[in-house]
Amino acid sequence: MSRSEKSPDVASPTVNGIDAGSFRDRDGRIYRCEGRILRGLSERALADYRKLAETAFFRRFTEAGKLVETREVATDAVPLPDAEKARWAGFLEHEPVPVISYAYEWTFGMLQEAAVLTLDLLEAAIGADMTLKDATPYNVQFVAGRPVFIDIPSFETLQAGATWAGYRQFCEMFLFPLMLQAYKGIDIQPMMRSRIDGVGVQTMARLFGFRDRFRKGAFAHVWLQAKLDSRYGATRQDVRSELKSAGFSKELILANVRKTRKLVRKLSWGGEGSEWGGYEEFHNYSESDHALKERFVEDAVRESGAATVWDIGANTGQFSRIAARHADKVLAMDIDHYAVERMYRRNTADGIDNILPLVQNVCDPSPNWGWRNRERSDLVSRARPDLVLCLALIHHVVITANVPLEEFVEWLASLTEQLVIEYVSRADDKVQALLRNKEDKYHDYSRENLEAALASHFEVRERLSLESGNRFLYFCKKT
Amino acid sequence: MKYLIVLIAALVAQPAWAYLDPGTGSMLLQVILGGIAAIGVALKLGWHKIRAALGFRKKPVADDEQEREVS
Repeated sequence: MSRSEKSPDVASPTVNGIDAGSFRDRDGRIYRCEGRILRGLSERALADYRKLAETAFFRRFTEAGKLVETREVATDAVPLPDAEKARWAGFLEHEPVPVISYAYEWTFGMLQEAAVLTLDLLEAAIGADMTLKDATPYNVQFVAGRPVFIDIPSFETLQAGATWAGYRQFCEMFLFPLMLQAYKGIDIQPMMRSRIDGVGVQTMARLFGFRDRFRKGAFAHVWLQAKLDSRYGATRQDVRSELKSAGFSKELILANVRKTRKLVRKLSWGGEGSEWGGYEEFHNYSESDHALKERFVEDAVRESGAATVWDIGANTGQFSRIAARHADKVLAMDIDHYAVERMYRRNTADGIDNILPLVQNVCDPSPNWGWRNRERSDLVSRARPDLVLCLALIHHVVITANVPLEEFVEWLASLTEQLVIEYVSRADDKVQALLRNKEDKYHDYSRENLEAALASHFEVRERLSLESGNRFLYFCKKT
Repeated sequence: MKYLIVLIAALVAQPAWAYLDPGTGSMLLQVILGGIAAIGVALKLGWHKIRAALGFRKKPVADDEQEREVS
């Protein structure tokens, strides 16, 4: 745990110290200054926080590491300009999250756990006459391998007769993407990355065919919600007051939250459509080569002294776990959703808490987007590596994604001071398979070119040819 | 039971126009989702509407009427 509690490597984009992504709720705003995470609160939000801080569930979830560590700080002690301080009734300070990640970088299991945590918190809050004003995965972060709820001012006093305010958002941001993955095998990441507010109710209804209506939860949450949405979407009736006077109660919210949680827990995904999930079992090199490669990587990580390692093309995280023995934290990325899902499940089962698994395509990485293109940021704005592992990836980048080899090495050099890279020769089965039905225009894909490109940015400290004669490993440092 | 409540909700439903209020349908759905726990609310929600429709109670500004007045 202590390893993960370091301050973040890189802060998210800020405008005069104000977090660029925290504008939606008028009752508060996040400031990042001097490595601290501070939150200005309106009078109302401050009163709600004080009420929250008195509840037993708040202490219970905080102690369990499911709510971000939070304390109130005196405005005098806040290192912000007076004009900013004057905007707020009070300030909170939160424990920084080591690396911010987003739902479109998570796996099915990660989104599912974030959903369950959100519902657990809502259930507990209702019991204390409070509620969550929204329900978005951006309120949850992964710290030490587990989901942690970070948006403390989302808790507010429950008004009599109120419905579950975040229900629709919960559907669009959690339930629908999870259903699409579980029922249709549609990956959650591109859905969550294409629309910042998730999968809209009407879109969801159109994505579901007639037969899908009979799947668990689909009739009410998808079909009926879409019908009611188009029927009442523009109503002038004060439905909120009508529901209140009809006696809508918190017991009803609780019943709905529990039912929804049961549904979320039942959804499962077994990796249908994954190309790479089983790679580890099917690697095409010998056991002795495998052992050599493992030892080379382990020695390099140890010698690098890296605190943060990025394993790009991590697959199921075999080498990430080796790196995690020596580094403070590892960001393990792969393009294949199910490979990353398997890694997440295994890390959770084994209690490995310093690997953050991310679904990420290095050739099409997370962008800067949302309001002013700053609401959500690219990965290099959120984290930086001290060492990058790039094992058995370069042939995919150059041959599959058509990125020129030199540009790829240049990008790696812009990212890191230290690099472990594996070259897979043209004679290797995997490269042969990539070229089988493709015109070979990849003249730049050669060991000589790679070595030349590496030499122009790095100094190669260690090298190793595997016994097969088709794979070569390099450990490089910037000169 | 769920379908009965859907039916009630559908009967009391009034067509609507004008500005987008994206949460309204989802709020009403919560009554339906509530199942047995929500029967009372569903009936009462309907009862108000029925009373209003029968003229026992001042009708809340109905969308269709207002629309007509405007046009």
